[in-house]
This record gives sequence, structure tokens and C-alpha cells, in this order.
Amino acid sequence: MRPLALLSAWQRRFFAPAPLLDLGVVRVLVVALQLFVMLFPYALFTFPVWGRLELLVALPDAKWEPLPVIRALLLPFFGGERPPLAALLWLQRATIAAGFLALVGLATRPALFLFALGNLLISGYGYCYGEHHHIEALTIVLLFAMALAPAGGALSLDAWRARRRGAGVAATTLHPEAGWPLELLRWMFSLCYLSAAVCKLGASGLDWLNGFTLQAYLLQEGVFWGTASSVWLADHHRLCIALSWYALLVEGLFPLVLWKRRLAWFFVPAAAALHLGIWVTMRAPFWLYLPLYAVFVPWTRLLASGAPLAPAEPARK
Amino acid sequence: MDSRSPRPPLPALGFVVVVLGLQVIAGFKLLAPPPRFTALAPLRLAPSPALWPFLDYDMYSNHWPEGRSIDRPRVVGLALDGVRHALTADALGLTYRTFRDEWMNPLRGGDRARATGIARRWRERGGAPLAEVLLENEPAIVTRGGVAAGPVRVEVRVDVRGDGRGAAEGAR
Repeated sequence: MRPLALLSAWQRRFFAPAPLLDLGVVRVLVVALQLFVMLFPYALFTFPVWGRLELLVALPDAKWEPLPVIRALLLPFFGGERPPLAALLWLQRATIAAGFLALVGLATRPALFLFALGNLLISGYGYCYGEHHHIEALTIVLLFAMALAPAGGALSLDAWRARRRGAGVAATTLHPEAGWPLELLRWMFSLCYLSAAVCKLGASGLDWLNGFTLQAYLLQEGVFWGTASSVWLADHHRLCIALSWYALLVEGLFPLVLWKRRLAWFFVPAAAALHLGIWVTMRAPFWLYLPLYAVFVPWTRLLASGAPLAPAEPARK
Repeated sequence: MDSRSPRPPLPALGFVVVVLGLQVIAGFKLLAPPPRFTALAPLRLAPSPALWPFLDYDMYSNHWPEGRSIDRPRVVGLALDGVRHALTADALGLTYRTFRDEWMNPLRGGDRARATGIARRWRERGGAPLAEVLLENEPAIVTRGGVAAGPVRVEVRVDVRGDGRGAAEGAR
């Protein structure tokens, strides 16, 4: 296929019309869980940034290593200084308020934008002290993407008000801009999992699959967290070999879902199971990924027909 | 470009291109080649987390051979009658995290006052009077046959007899 034809196919795939309802369902699920973790930070996480602002503000200036994006966003307001606690708490409250608006779909686009920006600032602030994690990254990207798309076209007060004015459309209506945020996140998932596999193979080659590697990591985390399950698992060398292959194959082959959507039936539960196993044994909490996996579900077809769940193939011309 | 395909909205197209581009750069370390490739050092412009929220996913990517040893510290109380007692989080009525962060790790780091605190807490919960508190390390060694125990090393040994009596009185 020639480059231009490839680019055209890629563009058609990304911007193929999709039901507004699919995007609406994802908006509700993602915003709802994000709001939940902001309101009840310790329900799902051990060290949530949302519950630790006072602790972080109390750290000495020497530990302040602002991420470039946070430094740039804070510069106009604080001139490169650390923001005070009062400002952070105000930001937190404003973000939660925007989240509620985004959840019910009132002024959906600006609400989603403010919710995304607040999450970017607060999560990023938490990672300005020498430690960073991955758990919020994909959620933040999707929130910004939805702010640029008709995410309030279904399951929202905006859509209800539009219908009352006679300007609304059915939630199942295909919209040319309703699919790309979902497709973008499918690509992001694929890139993240693939890069995890590439990093393992790049750093260790096939030695990563020797079983001893997983045994050692399980022991290390099991001792740190006091989890008996990881120590038990580390005692089974052959099982660790099998699980190493499982992890690498799921991560490395996950991008196949971009080629054949039906493969999401296998890879999404497989990836979710991988994260569940990692949480049980190593306490890495990727709970925010659960609603994000909803981008692989054809909600409109599912809800309309009650038919078995089958991820939709992308539009082809 | 195929003229039949509708033109996508530019902000959305721009967002998609920038986001995917940044994730490819961060995820595959295109601007952060490993330090061992010294010839590529000039390309090391944005090591993680410079592009956050776009990150690499290289955690747990190193491999380990058979025989890898993992420290497994534990706290033991030696009673006046010579009996050994495991002073675990459960035995002291603590969460594992509190026990690890506020008692065991500081003791391992040389804070001997933690030993008397542990002995006092043990006595308050009805434990036998202690003569000594020991911080032992029994490494776990990864083998083909599973996890093997390495030789036990006593890293810290604290005489708590005086404090033990004091704790007993305090408990009454």
C-alpha cells in the first residue's frame, strides 16, 4: 500500500462515524470512577495524590522537581514557585465540581476540559517530588480528547435540553466526530502495552522469560508489601515461566486489536487479568484502566439488541 | 490523500497526531536511549518523566538469574527463658505497612530505640518479658526448585531487659 493510501485509510479509520451513545457511555464510566477516586482517595489506592496534598506541600523545597508540563502550566500563576496548599485545595474543589458537570453532561465540553486540566495539574503536582507513576496518564489523555468531541451528545443534560428545543438527535445517531477519542485510546493502550514488551525485550532479551526474573520480582514486592500470594507464586518456578510468557505475549500482541477488533474479546480480559494479578501479588493499582477498557465495547449494538458482545470492526471502504 | 474521505476536524486531527507522536517518543525512548549506548548520548534529550503524562513502561524490565537473593528481614524477640518469639505486625497489633515503615525499617537502619518500643508494645499485648530484640535477615534465594532460604544473619541485636521491666510496670 502506498504511503498516501495508508494515511488515508488511517484517517478514515480514526474518523469513521460512530454512535454518540458509545462515547456517552465511556464519558460516564470514566468520569464517574475518576470522581470516585478524588472523593475517596484511599478506597482504591495506597498513596493517592488526592489524599496527600497536605503531606506533599509540607515537603522541603529541595524535593521539588517540577515536571516540564506542570512547570509550564504553573509559571503564569506562581512564577516557578511551588503553589500554596490553599491554591491546590481550591483547584481540587473546582476540578471535582467540573467533574460532576461532566458526569451529568451539563456544559459538557468545557466541563470535561476543566476536569482534564485539573486532573493533569493535581496528578502532575503529585509527581513533582521525584516519583512518578502511570495510573492516571491514559485517563487524562481521554478526558482531553472527549473535551474536543461531542461527548455530551448522549446520556447528558445537554442532549436532553437539545431534544426539548427540537434540536437534538437520537443517542444512537452516527456522528463523524464521536469515534476518534475511542480509537485514540485503543491506540494508546496498544502503544503502552507494546512499549512495555519492547522495554523488557530490549533490556533483557528472552532472558526475561527465564522464570527466575518473575520469581525475584514477586519476592521483592511480596517482602515489601507483606503479600503471601506473591511469595507463594515465587515458589513455583514453572508457573512463573508460564506467567512470564503470558505477560509478554499479552503486552506484545495487544496491538492486534487495532487490526481485528474481535481480538479485543481475548486481549482486553487478558490484560485486565494481568493487572488484577499484578495488584494481588505486587499491589500496583491500575483500577483506572477498568472504565477505559470500555472503549473496546460496542455499547450501542449491545444495548440496542441485547446481542452477544462483539466489538465492531472498523469501517472499511 | 483520498478525496472521497471527509476532511476530519483539524483540532481533533492535530490532537491525535501530537498525542500518538508523544507516546511513541516516550514509550519507545526515542529521546532517551539507554545510557549504555554512549554513542547515542546526544539523543538523550527527554528521559522519563520529562514528557509526562506520556511515559515509557519499562518497570520490571531487567532480568535476574537463578540464585538471585532477596533480603527478608524479620524481628524476633528472645524471652528471658530463652524462647524465641516472632514479633510480626499481627503479634504487635499493627498493619504490615506501619510495622514495616515505623518499626522494622528504622530498626534495620540503626535506630535501636525502636527495639525498646517493640518490646514495650509486645509486653503491653501480654507477651512474655524479653531479654533481647533481634533484627534478622533470612534472604530468599530464587532457585529452579522454588524459594530457598539463605543463611540467617543477625543485623541488629538490642538488649531490652531494662526496658522490658519498665514496660511491664507501665502496662500495669
